[in-house]
Amino acid sequence: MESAGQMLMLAALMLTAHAGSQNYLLTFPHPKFVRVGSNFTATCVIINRTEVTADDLYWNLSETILPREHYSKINNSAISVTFTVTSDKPEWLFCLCRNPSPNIVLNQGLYMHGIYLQKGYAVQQPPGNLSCVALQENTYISGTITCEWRDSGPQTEQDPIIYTLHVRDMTQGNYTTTTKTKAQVSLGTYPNHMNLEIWVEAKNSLGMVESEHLKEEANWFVKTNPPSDISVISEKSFPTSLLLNWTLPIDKSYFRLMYRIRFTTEGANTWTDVPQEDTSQDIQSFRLQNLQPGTKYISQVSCKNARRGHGRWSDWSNNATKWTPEAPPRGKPDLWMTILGSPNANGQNVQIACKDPVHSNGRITMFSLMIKAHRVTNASTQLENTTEMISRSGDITVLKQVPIPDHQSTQVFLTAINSVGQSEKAFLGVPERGKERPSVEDLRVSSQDGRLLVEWRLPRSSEVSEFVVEWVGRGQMDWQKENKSTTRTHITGPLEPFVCYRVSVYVLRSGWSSKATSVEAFLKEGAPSEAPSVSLLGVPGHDGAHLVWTQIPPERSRGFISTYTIYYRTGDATRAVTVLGNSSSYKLTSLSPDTTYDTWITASTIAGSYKGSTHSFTTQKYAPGEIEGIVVGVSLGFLFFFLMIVLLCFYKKDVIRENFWPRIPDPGESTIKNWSPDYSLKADLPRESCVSGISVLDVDVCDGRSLFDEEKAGLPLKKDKFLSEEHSSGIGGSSCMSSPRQSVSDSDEGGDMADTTASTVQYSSVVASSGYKGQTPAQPTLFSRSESTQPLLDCEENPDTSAQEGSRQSQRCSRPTGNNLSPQGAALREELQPLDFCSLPEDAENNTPAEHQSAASASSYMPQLGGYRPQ
Amino acid sequence: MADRRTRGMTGSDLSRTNTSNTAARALAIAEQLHHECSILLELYRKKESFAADVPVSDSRLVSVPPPSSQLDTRDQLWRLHSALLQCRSLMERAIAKEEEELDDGRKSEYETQRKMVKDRLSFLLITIGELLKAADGTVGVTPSGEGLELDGPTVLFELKLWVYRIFKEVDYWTKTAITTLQALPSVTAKERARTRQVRSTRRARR
Repeated sequence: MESAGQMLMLAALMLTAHAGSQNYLLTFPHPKFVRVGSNFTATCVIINRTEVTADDLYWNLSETILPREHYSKINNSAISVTFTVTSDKPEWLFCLCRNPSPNIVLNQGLYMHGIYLQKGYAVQQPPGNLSCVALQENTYISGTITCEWRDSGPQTEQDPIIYTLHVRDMTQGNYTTTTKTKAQVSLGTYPNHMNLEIWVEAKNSLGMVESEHLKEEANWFVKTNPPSDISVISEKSFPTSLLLNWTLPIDKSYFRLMYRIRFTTEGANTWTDVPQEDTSQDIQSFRLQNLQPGTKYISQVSCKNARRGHGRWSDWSNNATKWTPEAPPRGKPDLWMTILGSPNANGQNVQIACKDPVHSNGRITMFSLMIKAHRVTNASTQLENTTEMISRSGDITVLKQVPIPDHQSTQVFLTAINSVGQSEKAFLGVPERGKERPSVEDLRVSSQDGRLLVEWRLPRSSEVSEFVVEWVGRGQMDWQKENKSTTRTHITGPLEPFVCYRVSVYVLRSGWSSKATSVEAFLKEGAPSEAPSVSLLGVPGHDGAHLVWTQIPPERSRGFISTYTIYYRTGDATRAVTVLGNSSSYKLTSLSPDTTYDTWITASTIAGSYKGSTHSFTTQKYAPGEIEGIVVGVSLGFLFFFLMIVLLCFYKKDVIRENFWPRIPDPGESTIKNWSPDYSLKADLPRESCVSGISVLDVDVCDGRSLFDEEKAGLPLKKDKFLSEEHSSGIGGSSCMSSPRQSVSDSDEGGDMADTTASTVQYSSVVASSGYKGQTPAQPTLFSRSESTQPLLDCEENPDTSAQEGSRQSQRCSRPTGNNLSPQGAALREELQPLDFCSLPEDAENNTPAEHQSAASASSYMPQLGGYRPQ
Repeated sequence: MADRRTRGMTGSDLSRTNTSNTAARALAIAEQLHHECSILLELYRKKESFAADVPVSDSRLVSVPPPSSQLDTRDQLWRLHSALLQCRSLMERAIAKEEEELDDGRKSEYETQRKMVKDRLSFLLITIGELLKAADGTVGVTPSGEGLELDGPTVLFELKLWVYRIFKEVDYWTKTAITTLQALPSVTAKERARTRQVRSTRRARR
């Protein structure tokens, strides 16, 4: 049957398509919307074409070919496909045809047909949680009802859910349509006391569903304005009561109202509600009772339809504020004393502070303070009565600072006064210093849940009246009192994070305070906000430096400093040393000498670190005393060396003398004398005269004078003498010695000499060391035999003359013993005085003949000597 | 209408409520109408600069049987319903006349209040009609508007006075309704007691 129907539809469609379409394929059905999640079946028919069959057809959904197993062949020219609609997006379903054979190419534009699938969801659930309200407008209820509900499930843009809000009373009905879940319906005049029926209809192309129907009296939906013109009346005779009055928001004829009232004190965070049973009646005033005298109260009123279950609570009214009348303070003021600074020799200063009584019953305007000081030493008692005006810091009133000397106990009595009366008297005693009773033990303070938890252990002995927990931070002091059985409590006052609090616990025994047990604590620790600046203690050493810093005070450290880390850097190398947080100095060691270091310090808490400023220093090049050591060492070494030299010179003077002043062979002992024909004459000459020419050095040495000194003394003269030696001829220019050059260079003068000399004799030339008279000896003293024909030295040639001259030389040599000189010797000395270094021949050249004569007269050799003059 | 559910009063609840509470609701509506009518009169006097004691005729605009202690509850309600119904007609005519003659196109507080009174009067009529229906199952014959001065005067001042009279008439019958409805519970209770007594007498006679 179904197949027959389908075939019939196919035939009809083919006829229709043939008439109006040029495509050779035709698809159906073309629904307006397809439900997401449902199975959709489409059919494709080939119209009037035989070259293709149903086997050549295929389905394409969103450019994806549907699998062939979803196809169902109806006949040779029709095929259907069934698939589940999953996407909620609109899409095209195409029926296409492939080429039946490679030889046939179809016009694909004609062999296609499509279905546009618009998706939608069936309305799955009725709109839920329908709630409606009719608000007050001016003095009546607005005829517009506003309703809200929960949506009816998913929807698509193509097929959205349309909600229709229906409101119907007994005479009329109205509705509003929307796609949202909130709507308003206007009824004109609001039908108070009439029954209303309200419901919501959710509908789209795929279905419709209704919400529950609300059938209630119209006033069931009403929400009025809050009561207006709230006034509060305070009556002096009733300090614990306030009378509230208000104006009805709507006339009683609409409905009776019930109320709710709440009140609070100024600054409090919670409201106190008046029990509903007291305000459920039709009232326009209410008396608040059991209030605190002298306290500012804030009240609010709200109302609703008094009928049970009807109406909604209105908003709260505006605040109505009023002070209750004052009453005398009840209870005692909270009296406490805190020690200021450290005790000194004169005692200690304490600050007396207090808090208002818990029930101050008004504004405390002044305190009556009585201080009773009992001096133990002389058993005297001083009484001081003062009236302190209020000087508040928060809820604390600082009353007075008083010095408490040693050996004095102090009792303080305090009464709080307001405009009506005064409180009971509070007492606090401070025992004589040093005689305080012990306080608590094992005091611990920890941060817990954003508060400071204080725990302690009761003292073993003595009874306890109560405990005082005191905390001081940022210069602010506060305290709280705990009963005698308390061993742990939270600090109730407002504490700030990163602030160091000094928490102390005292024991009060019948009002007398004990010693304090204190610890420091942070509510929350943070990274330090500063770090100490490091500096050097003294000057840096050559391999170390002593760093010092000032510890960050707890009020600025924002936490307990756990460690300090000292960094020091030279070049790219940075090293760090960590020390404990209670350190304030550190010695850096193993530093490189003469090196510049940058150093800084990092302060760390458990929450973080902060880097301090950088300080630079340079290590010294030498260690302390090193320079002095070197100088002293070098000096000592030099001194030792000098001494060694001196000692060496002293002990080795003979060697030195031999080296520097070599022994010149005594010509007297020379065999040369054997060559002389008149050797016999000379044989009798005293021995010492034979070395007269060399003994000049002996004289100098014996004199102990430096040759250099002598050289300096007679430098001009000697220079001339040296020069004269160079220019003098071999024999005539020298007393005993003559340079070989001089001797040899005169060889060409032999002819002349032959004229004057009886015979040519060989002579030996003494080559003296050049070190002589300050010249460095470079050559050993030589004796070479000369073949010169130049006459020999006078002493050799003429032993008498030589002997004479040698005697003169020897006389000079014995000058230190001049006192022993014979008159003859002295005369000769005077004559020879200018003839140092045997410069006689030169002198002789310069001398006048008279002088030669006088000299000749003094010597029998003169005539012969004169015979050499021409040379 | 699938998944249709109701919350609050069901049909039977409504009928029970109608029986027990309709009188109370009617009284509440009457009181509300009286309040609103007072405001309307005040607004009208203010609008037309009428003094509070502006002289109006003591004669009634609506015509109903005279009150009598002999009238039973149903008759009292019927009389009341009839009077209020005439009031509504008068008021509708007055509104039409005002809109025809005096409307300046603005919706002032007066117009709002006037409409509110008229609507409230309708609510009261409906409620009293329910009471009548609850009494004997019929609302009764609706009185015609014949005999009422529905055309109203043509002179403007007289027209204003006529409107004022209509409002006063509504106010009067509203107060009457309040009085009647306030007495209604005791009446209905007596009626019920009397009905029970008659029935028990009849049973005893049998």
